[in-house]
Amino acid sequence: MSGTDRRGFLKAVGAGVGGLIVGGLAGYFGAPPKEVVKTETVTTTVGGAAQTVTKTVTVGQTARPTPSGPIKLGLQVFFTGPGALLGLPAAYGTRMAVKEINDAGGILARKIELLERDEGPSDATLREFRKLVLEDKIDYYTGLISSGNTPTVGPEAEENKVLTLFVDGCTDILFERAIPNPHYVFRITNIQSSDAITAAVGTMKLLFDRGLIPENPKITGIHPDYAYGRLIYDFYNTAMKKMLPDAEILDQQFPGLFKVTDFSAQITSMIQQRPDLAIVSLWGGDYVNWYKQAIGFGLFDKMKVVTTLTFGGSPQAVGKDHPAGHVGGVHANYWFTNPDWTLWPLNGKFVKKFKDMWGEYPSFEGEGAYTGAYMLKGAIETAAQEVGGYPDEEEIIPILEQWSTYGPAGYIQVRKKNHQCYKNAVIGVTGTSPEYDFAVMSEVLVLPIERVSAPAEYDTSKQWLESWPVGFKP
Amino acid sequence: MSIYIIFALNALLFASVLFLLTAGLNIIYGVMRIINLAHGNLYALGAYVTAWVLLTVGYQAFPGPLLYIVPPIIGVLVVGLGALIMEPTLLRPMYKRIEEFQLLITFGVLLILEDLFLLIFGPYPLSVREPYTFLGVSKIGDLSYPNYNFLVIALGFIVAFALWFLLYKTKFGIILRATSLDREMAAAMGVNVKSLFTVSFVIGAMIAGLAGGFIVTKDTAVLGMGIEALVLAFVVMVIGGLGSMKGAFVGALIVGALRQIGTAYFPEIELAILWLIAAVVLTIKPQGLFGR
Repeated sequence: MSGTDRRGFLKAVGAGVGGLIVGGLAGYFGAPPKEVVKTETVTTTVGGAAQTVTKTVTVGQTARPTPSGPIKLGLQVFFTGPGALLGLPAAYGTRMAVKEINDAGGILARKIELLERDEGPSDATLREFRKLVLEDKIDYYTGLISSGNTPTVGPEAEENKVLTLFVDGCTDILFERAIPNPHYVFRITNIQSSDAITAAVGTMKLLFDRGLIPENPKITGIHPDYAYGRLIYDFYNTAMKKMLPDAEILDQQFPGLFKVTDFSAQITSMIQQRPDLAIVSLWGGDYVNWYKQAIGFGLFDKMKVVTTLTFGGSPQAVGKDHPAGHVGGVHANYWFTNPDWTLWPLNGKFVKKFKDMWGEYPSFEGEGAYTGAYMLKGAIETAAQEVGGYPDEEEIIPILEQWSTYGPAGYIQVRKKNHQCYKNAVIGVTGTSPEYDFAVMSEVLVLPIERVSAPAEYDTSKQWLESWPVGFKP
Repeated sequence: MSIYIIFALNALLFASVLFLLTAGLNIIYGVMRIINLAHGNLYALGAYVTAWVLLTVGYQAFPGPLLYIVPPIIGVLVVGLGALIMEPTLLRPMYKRIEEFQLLITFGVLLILEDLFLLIFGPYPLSVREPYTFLGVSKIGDLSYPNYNFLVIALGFIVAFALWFLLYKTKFGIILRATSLDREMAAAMGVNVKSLFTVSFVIGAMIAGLAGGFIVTKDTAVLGMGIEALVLAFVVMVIGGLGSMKGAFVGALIVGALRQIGTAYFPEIELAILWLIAAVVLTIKPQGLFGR
């Protein structure tokens, strides 16, 4: 309860008076130690822009000593099994950021110790999370790839008061139903509904506007049979029906995630429907198997294909034989050639460092995890300036709630209401480039995130989508 | 009309892969009474090695038909070698113990292999496409069908015929069947049961490796493929009857056909269909269609 009060107080007074809180609390809880109060001017970064704030800080005996020992950061992603395709790049991103931060002296002179645990099915993931919290006594937690796991671990993180930055597991359900009023939990990658709507808007911009699909397209699709695939099916088709009311949504396929390697039956059934368009949300090995077999059946010649995750694993996972001229997604997050390396050197440097360190190009998971680690560092350091010592979670959270920063993917901001991060969404046209021996985006479409995600005043993304007037094209 | 021909070919393709998976499992169970849970990843090992050979040596190294023979055979040999090491070292000490030990050991091997794939081949799918694309496609009406799939269908029938010949037309087959019926009597008649076990295990594993070697050019070598394949093979094994080669063949055809029908007309319950078939068969005939 006291945490909420203090948070409310901070909200009212603003982040620049943390020192007063420390002094006030010290006075409240017991006999005040001898204090030396002085006023100093510090420059702090709030809201993405540097601004100068004058504030009062207490120093002397009340300045908190920095805790001894390293910062324990728990990292949990898929290191094994088919999910490692997304999990390992995320781990690479976190490890790279941690190494850079430690090499530069750590956070407030504390080194980060990374405690890595495997992600698995929900029960196993939760068990490992509890061990990290209760036995290893981690300070902060990051990771998680699966949308099946974040709604399980999220409430536990809240209960255990662990400051948590989920890298992915981007289901809307997490902040709509599992923890509708998050306090300790934040998430870095774009929300899942934005992924579906990005694919739908990408369909309009890259196919419909160019006359490549008719005004009344027949839409088929194939999706993995779990939360993610079901959401993409629902949101994409609803969005398409809003934008093109004469669209016809056909029966779509739902093979189990990583349970099917031979997609002949599904591919033939999709062709049999004679559609104009197919929405595909398979990913990883499933997508590679599917597209390879779909080429053999001539599917790509018979319809346009829009995907959410063609380029979602490691970029080099999809070969040059991937048909060109279709629409391929990156989970609406990040593609390593965008933003342009010359215009946004931060990205070029990041890609080079990542490639040098890991021998592969970064995926959206790698970028998200890397940016997330730096977000944590930035928020801790800003909070430390505010409170005049190493901050606790309750002091970091108000800073994170209004955090905005920039990473290799560009600008990213936290929405205070749902603790979800937002950055511009990316999707593109599939093609090849002589520079790379794998399929790439031959054209990148960047959509401002506010056009493809629900504004804060809506309780759920679905409410926003359903509020679209017929014929609305964001 | 052409779509129905493709449906039938799809059913045969799936049945062929299922049969190859189940045949090896059945030989091992029939002779040794061991449920080899590692079987799925022996199949995956065949796939990974074949893909790895094609990716590292390059498809150009195998001119003409050799492209379709040498890489999978290398995969099969590696799997055979693995089985040759596994049977005497890990399984033999377990024969006299309760079955749970065998299950634990083979499941352990399944998990170890899975992580070895991750360690050696990395987390990304190994995809080779040349052998698949070189064969081109056949036109069936206005639809295309990949010719490579005919090869996989043929492989299923060839292996089925070869196994039938081996089991019913050779002396080795007679000994194998005799040992399967009564292990002690066979030993009393002078059969070297120990080496027969090793040979059966290696043959069973190599059929799985062969399936993996051929499937990998059509699909990919990907983490988790072995575990899913194992589950499918069990469904077919249960439908056909444990240890029955005829059961594996008929079971694979039934599952292949019903899956295609389900996917085409009832996509929402595609996953449930396999289990529904198994439930119906087990209710009517608990020992499976051709089980003893």
